[in-house]
Amino acid sequence: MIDLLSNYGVIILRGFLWTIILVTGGFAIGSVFGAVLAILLVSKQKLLNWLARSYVELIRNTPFLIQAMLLFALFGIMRMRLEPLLVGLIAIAIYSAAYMAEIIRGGLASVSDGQREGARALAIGPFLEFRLIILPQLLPFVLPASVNLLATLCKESAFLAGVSVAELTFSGQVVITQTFLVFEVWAVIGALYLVLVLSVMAAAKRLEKKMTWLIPGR
Amino acid sequence: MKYILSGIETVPLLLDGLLTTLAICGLASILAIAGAVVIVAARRSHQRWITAVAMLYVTLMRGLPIVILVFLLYFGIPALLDLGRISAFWVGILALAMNGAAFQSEVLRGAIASLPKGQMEGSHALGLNRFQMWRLVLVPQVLPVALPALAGEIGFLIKASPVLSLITVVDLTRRSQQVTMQTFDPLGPLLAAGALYFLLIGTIGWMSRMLEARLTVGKSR
Repeated sequence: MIDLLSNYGVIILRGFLWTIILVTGGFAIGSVFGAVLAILLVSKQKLLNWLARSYVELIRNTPFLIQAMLLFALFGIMRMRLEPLLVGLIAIAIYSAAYMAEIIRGGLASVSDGQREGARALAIGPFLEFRLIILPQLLPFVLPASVNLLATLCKESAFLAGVSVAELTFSGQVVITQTFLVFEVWAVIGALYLVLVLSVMAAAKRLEKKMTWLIPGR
Repeated sequence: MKYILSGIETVPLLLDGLLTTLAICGLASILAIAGAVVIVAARRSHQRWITAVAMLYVTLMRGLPIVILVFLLYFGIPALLDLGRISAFWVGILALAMNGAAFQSEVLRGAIASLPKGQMEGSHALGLNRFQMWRLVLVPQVLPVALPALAGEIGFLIKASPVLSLITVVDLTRRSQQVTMQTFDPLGPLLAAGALYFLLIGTIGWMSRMLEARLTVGKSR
């Protein structure tokens, strides 16, 4: 085990860092698109609403591995040679955007119409209405849920090894072809994922505890 | 557009893969629900250590990616114990069931926790024994609360099932890759597989919502 870590620890660590980069980067991009999608999901424009709903349902009802494979195939037939890590990042962004959209939509739905009407009666304008009235009521719901989504992304990202993206699981496969220490390598990789996912989940739990009292009506 | 047409043409070639995926998910779901009942019972045990083991198990399953669990069970454990070749199909089902059981147990636990305590006290007052209390009082109230969420969890199980294609099981995902190799069609079979997954998971989701609507009728909540 010591040999394994001293000789191949660097490869595993690099994979670990890439997993973190892919997940946080994909999550960040996905959150921005998710916010836009959420606005479309609650908009009264029939066509835009339908398009956003279709996107969210397509992503939420298909396996992540299939989405990643499709993305690689699409770039392939468009003759675009992209770095696999970049395609992995895009795959995570596409995936997280759909889940994020649902989280934010749920948050928006939880703010009652009276709040909006009240804000309008005060004539503070749409920006201040969002900033002062909607957002503070949105966050206690959205923040813990999105950190939980981040934990899910860490786990789902392991599927990217199936399409040769050099993240943590893939680095495990690389080390095994060189060392044949099958059990030891998967145990180490598993432990790294556990630490990562459980600490993100603990952060979500903390946020939830801190913020529940802010949710109106509880 | 051309790939959508070629995708439709490859659907018949994918059907045995779809059947394998259905079999895997069906068997794993049954095992997962059975496992979840055991976990819930263990977490309600008065023996501290049994509760602790059950909690540790659930935490492990929630923190470990299904991909790593499958690799550990299929590659890691056999290498450690020198088991030789084991069936990828059954290991995959076991992994999905182990993972699913942990999540389903959380659903069941939540549903049981939602019952007012008076239900148990009332059962005791009526002189029902533990089995009668569960059979006649608690389960009929837990099921309507839990069933929609349990169905939802089966959707998650199906979404995780392509992990078996990573350990050589010819499920829907791997079958679509094989067809790609045979027909040199890079996108059609994948699109078709995606559409089949969408129908499958969408149907489960729809059933879950139907159950929810049907089972909460007449309840003031």
